[in-house]
Amino acid sequence: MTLPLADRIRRWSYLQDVELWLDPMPGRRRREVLRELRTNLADAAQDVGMARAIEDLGKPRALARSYLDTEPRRRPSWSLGVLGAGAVLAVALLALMAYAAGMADTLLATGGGTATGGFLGLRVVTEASENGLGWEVSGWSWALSIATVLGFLLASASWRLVTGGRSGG
Amino acid sequence: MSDARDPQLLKGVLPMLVIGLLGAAESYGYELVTRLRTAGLDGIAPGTVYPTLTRLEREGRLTSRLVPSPSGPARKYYRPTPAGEAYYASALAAWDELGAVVGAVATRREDDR
Repeated sequence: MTLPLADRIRRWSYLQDVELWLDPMPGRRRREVLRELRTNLADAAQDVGMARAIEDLGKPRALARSYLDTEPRRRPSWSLGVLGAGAVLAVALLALMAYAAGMADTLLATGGGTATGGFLGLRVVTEASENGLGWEVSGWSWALSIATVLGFLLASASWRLVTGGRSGG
Repeated sequence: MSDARDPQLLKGVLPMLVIGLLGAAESYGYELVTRLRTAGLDGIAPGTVYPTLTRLEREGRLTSRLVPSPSGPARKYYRPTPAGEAYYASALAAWDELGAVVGAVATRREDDR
């Protein structure tokens, strides 16, 4: 029996979330778990509907944790590491934009011109006039690089490479 | 049976119940959930049962085979291995002993009143 498109999309979306949190599980077993969940959701959906079937499985993170608790050894989660590093970079980018906007605002308030500033080791040149605004960012930020690497290491739980990633239960 | 069960208690006996039911007849994940509900665990969540199946299989207490399914991808049917049956017998004996202790304490309490 073929599932309606809406149900398949709902199931796909839910399983995408589960897969993200299952990242520490070895690939072959992770694929097996997801394949089995897909079939079980199809079976449950025929019984109670897809929305209820998904609800009965619980939150993707909690379900993934139940599976991971059964693992003898957990690997680092590189996908979460990339997300962590991305979050650090996104916050830094927002802060840099706020800093550059502040510079431009100050320049405009004093009649325009060019100003050079520093942000986390980056050189920020701002040009502001009645005709427009312009920015140039150059250099290398060690602070940002270190923060990004730390974000990656912490979010991926990379210490499991060293500790062997003991099972949680 | 009441739905207000101690989750830790359920977690402790679920492997025994799963192997017990699968020993009577092999099942795939969702079917096993419905069998557990029919047996009295009305509120049992699939999200509790499926990881238990995965763990028991990894521990060598269950084995599985894929059977084509009309609802999509093949279903994974589980049944106990000899190690699983041995675990079941041992867990059931331990449960009986514990049940006897609980019963004895409850009886003594009633007698002392």
